[in-house]
Amino acid sequence: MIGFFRGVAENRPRQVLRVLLLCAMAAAAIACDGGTNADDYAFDNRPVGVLEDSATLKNRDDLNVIVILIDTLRADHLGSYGYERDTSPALDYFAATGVRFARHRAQSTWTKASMASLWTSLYPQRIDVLTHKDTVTGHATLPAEIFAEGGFYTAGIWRNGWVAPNFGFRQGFDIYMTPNPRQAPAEMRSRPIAGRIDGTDIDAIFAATEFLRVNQDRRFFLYVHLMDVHQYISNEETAIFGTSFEDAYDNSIRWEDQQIGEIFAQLFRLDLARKTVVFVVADHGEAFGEHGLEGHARDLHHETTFTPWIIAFPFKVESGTVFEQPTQNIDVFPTLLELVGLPAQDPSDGKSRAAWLRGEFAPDFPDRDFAQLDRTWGQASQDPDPIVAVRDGRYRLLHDVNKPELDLLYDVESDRVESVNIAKASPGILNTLRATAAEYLEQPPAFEGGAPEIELDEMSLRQLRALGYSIED
Amino acid sequence: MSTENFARPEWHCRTLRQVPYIRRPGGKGLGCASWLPSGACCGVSKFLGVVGLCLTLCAAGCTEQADDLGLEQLEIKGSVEEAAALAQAKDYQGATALLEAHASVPTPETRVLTMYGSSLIANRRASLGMWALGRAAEREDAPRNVQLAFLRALISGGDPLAAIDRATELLEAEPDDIAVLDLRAQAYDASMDYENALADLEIVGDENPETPILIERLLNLHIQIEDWDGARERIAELESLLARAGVDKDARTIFCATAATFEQQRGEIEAAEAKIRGCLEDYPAEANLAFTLTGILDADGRSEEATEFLADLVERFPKRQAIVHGYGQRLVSLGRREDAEALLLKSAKTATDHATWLAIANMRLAADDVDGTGEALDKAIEILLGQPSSDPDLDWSRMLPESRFGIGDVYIRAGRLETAARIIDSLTDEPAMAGLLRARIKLEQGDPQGALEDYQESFKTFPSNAVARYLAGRAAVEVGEFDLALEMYQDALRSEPTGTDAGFVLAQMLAAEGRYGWAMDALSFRSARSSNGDPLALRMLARLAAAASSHKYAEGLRALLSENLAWVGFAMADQAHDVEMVLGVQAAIDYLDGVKELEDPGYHEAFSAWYRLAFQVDREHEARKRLEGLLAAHPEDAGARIVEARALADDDDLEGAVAAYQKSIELSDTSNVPHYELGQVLAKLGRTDEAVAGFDRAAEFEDIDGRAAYGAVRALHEGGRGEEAIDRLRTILIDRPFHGASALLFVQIASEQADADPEEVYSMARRANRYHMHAGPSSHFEFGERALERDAFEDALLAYGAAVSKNYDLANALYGRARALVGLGRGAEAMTDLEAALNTEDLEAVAEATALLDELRADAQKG
Repeated sequence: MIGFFRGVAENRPRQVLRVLLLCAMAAAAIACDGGTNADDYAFDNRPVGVLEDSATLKNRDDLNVIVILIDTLRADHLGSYGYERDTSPALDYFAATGVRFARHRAQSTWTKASMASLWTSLYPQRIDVLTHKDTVTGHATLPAEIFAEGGFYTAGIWRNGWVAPNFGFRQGFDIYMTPNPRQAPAEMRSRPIAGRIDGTDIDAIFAATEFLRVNQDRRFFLYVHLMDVHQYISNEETAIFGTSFEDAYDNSIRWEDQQIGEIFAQLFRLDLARKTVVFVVADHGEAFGEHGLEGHARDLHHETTFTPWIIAFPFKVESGTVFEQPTQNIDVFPTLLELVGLPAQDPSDGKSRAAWLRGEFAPDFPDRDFAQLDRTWGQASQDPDPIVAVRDGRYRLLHDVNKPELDLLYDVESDRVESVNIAKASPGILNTLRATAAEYLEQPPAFEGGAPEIELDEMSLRQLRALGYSIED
Repeated sequence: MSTENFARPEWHCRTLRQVPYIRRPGGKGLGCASWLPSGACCGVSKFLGVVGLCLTLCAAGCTEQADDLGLEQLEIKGSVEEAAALAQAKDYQGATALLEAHASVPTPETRVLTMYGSSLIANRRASLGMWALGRAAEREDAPRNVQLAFLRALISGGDPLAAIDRATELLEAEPDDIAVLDLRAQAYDASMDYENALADLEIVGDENPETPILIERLLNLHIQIEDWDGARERIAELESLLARAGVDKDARTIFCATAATFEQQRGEIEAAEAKIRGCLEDYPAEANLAFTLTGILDADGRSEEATEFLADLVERFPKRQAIVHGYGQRLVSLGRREDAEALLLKSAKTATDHATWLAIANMRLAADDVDGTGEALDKAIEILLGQPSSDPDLDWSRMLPESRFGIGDVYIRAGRLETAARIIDSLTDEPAMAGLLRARIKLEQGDPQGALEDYQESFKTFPSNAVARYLAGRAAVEVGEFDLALEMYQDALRSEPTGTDAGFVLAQMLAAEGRYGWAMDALSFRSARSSNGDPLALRMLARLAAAASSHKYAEGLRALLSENLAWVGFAMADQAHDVEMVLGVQAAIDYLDGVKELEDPGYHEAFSAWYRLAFQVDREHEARKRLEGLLAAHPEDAGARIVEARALADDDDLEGAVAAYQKSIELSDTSNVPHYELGQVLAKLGRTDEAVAGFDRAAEFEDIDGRAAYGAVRALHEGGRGEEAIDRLRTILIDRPFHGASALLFVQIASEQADADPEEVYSMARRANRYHMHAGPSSHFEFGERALERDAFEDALLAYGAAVSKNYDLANALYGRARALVGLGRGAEAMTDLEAALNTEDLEAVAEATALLDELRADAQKG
C-alpha cells in the first residue's frame, strides 16, 4: 500500500480514513476476483438510497458536481465492465454503489472533436470541430456557463492541449487551469510510452484535492481531465499486469484508478461525498490491433469509441444499477443538468437519462447514434477524409465517405467487438445506413459560421506533438 | 533491382540516451538571455555539454525540496503563529504542513488562507496555492497584497486568462496601479497575447526607466511580435546600460552573443559579425562568443573560414576546454574524425577534469568503436571518481543511475563484464536498469532465453526503453518466439518510432507473412514521427502499398519521396516498375518518357529503368545513344557510371561492368548500390572473395532488407563454401527474422551437408514457410515435405494448403495435402484432392498418387 503523497525523505503516518480506503482497495485487489466487497468500504458514510432518490437532487442547494474525464480509457478494460483484470477497484466500487451505463459510446476518437461534442451535447457534424484549427464557437452554451449562472463556482483542471482555452473550452469557468508539471516522485518508475508530456496526473490530483479543501463551503462544479492512461503511466505498485503495450495500458488504468481514489478520499475526508455527485467519463478508447490499427484518432471501431459512464451519487445505491441500453457522450451533460435542476443546453442532440434514473425508462426511438472523425484532422494541406459511424438498432456502419467501397457493417448485437464485416452479405442494410450517414453529413452546423478557426502557435504545436500526434504546421 | 543509398542508422548509439525524469544536480548552469527563442539558447549548451554519455554525480542539490503536500493527518499540529515563524525562516515546507489543517476547515480565516497559499507558492506550488489565495482575495478584508499574490499565482499556476480578467477588474477601480498593470502584462505574455503585453509593459517601463529587467522583457515582446526596429531600440538601451553599470563578464558576453545572433536571425550578417568580432576583441577566449561567430559564418556559407578561425583559436588557447571540445565536434561533423581524436587526446593530456575524456568517449561511441569508448570512459571515471573503473572497491553509487546504466551498457558491449557486473550490483535503487543490463550480458553470452526473461521482468517497471525492447525482440527471434518478437518490435516502435530499426523489421516480418495492412501501419507510424520524413521508410512503404495493390497510395507516397532530390530517381524507378507490372511495358516507358530531367544527375535510377524498358519496346538504338550522351555530358557523375555498369552487365561484358562500378565508387563512395551490384557481377565471374567483400561493404552503408547480406551468402554457396554460408545465414536470420529466402537457402545448403542438425533444418523450413512472401511459394513445399517426414500432419496440411490456395504447382500441392489428410485420418478429403491432382497433367508422382487413391477407395469400401 504505497501511497504517493509522501515526502521523498521520509514515510509519514497515514490518515486513518485514507489507510482504510487503500487497505480496502488492496484487499479487493488481492481477492483477485474482480468483485467489490462493500464491507471493505465501511468508511463510506453516504446514506443508503435508491436510484429514484436522484429525483431529489435538484432540490438541494448544497449539491456539488465533479466530472472526471479519463483520457483514452476504453470501458472494456475496467473491472465493472467485465474485464478479467483487476484494473479499477475504486471505479468498480463506485459503479457498484451507483450507476453504470454499459453500452456507452463517444462521438469521436480524437480528443478535441470528442470533447467538443461532450461539452456541447452536439454531434461532431453539428458543432463542427473536426480539425486541429477548429474551436468551439462562443455561440455555444457550455455547461460551465450554466453552472456559473446557477450559482456554482466553476473550475477546470486540464492537461491535454486539445482542451486548452484557445480552443474555446474555457467558456463558463471561473478558473480553467493547467497545473504546473512537476518531476515525478522518486517511486514513479514507469516511463511514458505514447509521447512525452511533462508531469503526471499527480499534478492534477494535487490541484483537485487542494481545490476541494478550500472550496468545501460553497457549491462548486469541478472538471478534471486526466491524462496518465493516455500516457501509459504507472508506478511500481500498479505495474502488475505484464510487459506488453496492452499490459502497460492496463497498468496505467490501475494507476489512474488510484488517482481517482484520491479525489474520492478527499471528498470523504472533508465530508463532501454526501453532497457531491460525480460523473466519470472518457473521450475515447484505445486500439491494440483489433482491426489492424493501434492507438486512437485513426478510425471509429468499437475499441476506440466504447467508453465508460459511471455516476456516483451523494448516496449509495445498495445494488448498483446498470443500464444496458445504448447511450452516448452527448447524453452526459443533458443528464447532469437535469439531475441538478439547471436549464438544458439549447440546441442539444443528446438526451437526458435522468428519467431512467427515476425509474421512468423509455426506449429511444430512433435507436441511433453517430460518431465521426476526419482522418486528416492534423494535416491542413490535405483534403478532408471523413469517416462516420452510424448505429441504427443492432447494426453499425463505419462509412468511409471518400472510399465507400471500404465501408464496414457489423451486427453489434451479436458481434459487439465488430469482428465480422457483413457489408457484402447485407446490401440492403448497408444502403439504408449509408443513406442515414449521408443525411447526418448534410446537416449544417448548429451555429452560424460553424467552428471558428485559429492558427496554432509554435508552442502549442510542440505541446500537441509531444502527445504523439502528427500535426502539420 | 537497385538498392537504397542510405547512411547507416544511428540508432545503435542511442542505448545511452538520457531517459526522462533524470535528476539534475543542483548548481548553476550558464545563464542564458531570456529574450531569445529557446533555440538560440540551445546553441549555448551544445558546445558546453556533451551529447550522449553523461557522468553526473549526486551532489547536494540532486533532489528537489521535499515535495510533501500530503493528505496527511488533519489534526492541528501547531498554531498559525508558529507557521508564520517557519515561513519567516523560509521553511515553507514546514509552514505548509502546519497550515494545512487550519486551511481545511469549512471557512478558514483570510490570514490563514493567505499564509497557506503564499507558503505553497514559495514552495513552488503555485498550482496549489492559487486556490487558497483565490478564496482569500474574494474576502472583503483581503488586503491589496493578497490580490497581487493571487494574480501572480494565477499566472504561474496555470490560468493566465483568469489573471487578465481579474487584473482588468482591479485596474477599472485603480487605473494607475502599476503593479497590477505589470502583472497583467505578464499574464498577457503567458497567454501569448504579446501585443497587449507590450502595451501594458510600455506603461510600466515609462514609470520605471532604465530598469534592465524591464527592458529585457520589452525586448522579448518586440521580438515576439516581430517588431525588429523596436527590438533594436531596446538592445541599444540595454547596451548603454550595461556599458555604464558594473556588470560581470559572463552577462556581457552572453548579451553580446545573443545580440549578434539576433542580427543574424534578421539576416543582418554584417552587423552580426561586426558585433561579435567587437566583443571577441575584449574577450577572445570566450567560447560562447567564438561559437556564435562560427554560427554566423556557417550561415553565411563561409564554413571553411569558421573552421580556420576555430583552429587558430585552439592554437592560441589550448587549455580552453569548451573551445577544444567544440572544435573537435566540428571536425567530426566534417568527417575528420581522426583529427578530432588527435586534438582531444592532446587536450586530455593537460586536462584536469573528465570532460575531455568524456567527449572522446562520445565521439568513439558515435563511430561504434565500443572498445575505444570503454578506454576513454576508464580515463574519465578515474579522473572523476579518483579510482580506476576496474577497482573492485569503486563506489559506483556515487554516480547517477542513468549514467551508470549508459556506462554499463558500453562495458558490456566492450566485453568488460566484471566491471559491468559491479555496476549492475550498484543499481539497487534501479532494479529495472540492472535487469536490462543483465539481459544485455546474457544476450552477448549467447543466452537469449535468459536475456528474454530478464528483459520481460524489467519491462514491468521500465517499459519504454526502445533499444531494450528491440534487443528483446532479437532474443525472442533467437529462441524462435516470433509472435513475441513481433510484440517486442511493436513496443519498440511505439516507445520511440525512430530510435531503432524496429519499424523496419516489424514491417518486413508482417509483409513476409502477407499482413500488408499492419506492415504499412508500422512503417507509416515511424515515418510520420520522423523529423526528416524518413525516405527509406517512405520508399519501403510505397513498395508495400504496391504489393497490397494500393497503387494510388503508393503513387502518392512516391510523389512525396520525389520532393527529396536524393530520392527522386528511386521513386520514379519504383513507380515505373509498378506501372509495368499493372499496365504493361509501354505504359511504363510512356511514364518515363514524360520525365524531362531523366538525364540530369540524381535521376540516374529513373534513367536506368527507362534504359531497360527501351530494350523491351525495340528502342535499343535510341537507348544506347542516349546512354552515350549521358556519359559524355556527365563523365564524372557516379550515378551515370552505375547506369553504364548495368548496361555493360546486360550486354554480358562483366569485366567492363566491374570497371564501371569501380569507377563509380571512386567518384563517390557514399552509397551501397555500386558495391552491391559489383558484388553480384563478381559473383557471376566466380570471384567469390571479392564478391563477398563487395556485399559486405554495401551492408556497411545500409542493409535494412538483408539484400546485401544475402548476396554474400549466395556468393559463398555458389563458390562452394557452404559452411561459411551457413554461419552467415544464422546471423542474417537473427538480424532479419523475416528473411524467408535465407531460411530456405539454409535448408538447401544444410541438406547438402552430412552433419546438419535436423531440428535446426526443420525449424528453418518452418520459418521459410511462415515468411513465405519472402521465401517464395516453394517454401510451402519444402516445409510440407519435411513435416510429412516427421508425421507432423497438421503442419503439413497448413503448408500444402497455402500452396493450394495460391494455385502454386497445384497438382503437386494437392498431392502433398492429400498425404497430410491421410495422416490425419481424413481419407474422404484426401481422395478428393488426389482425384483433382490426377486430373491434371502436372502431377509428378502419378504412380504413387494412384496407388494411394486406390488404397483409400478400398478402405472406404470396407468401411
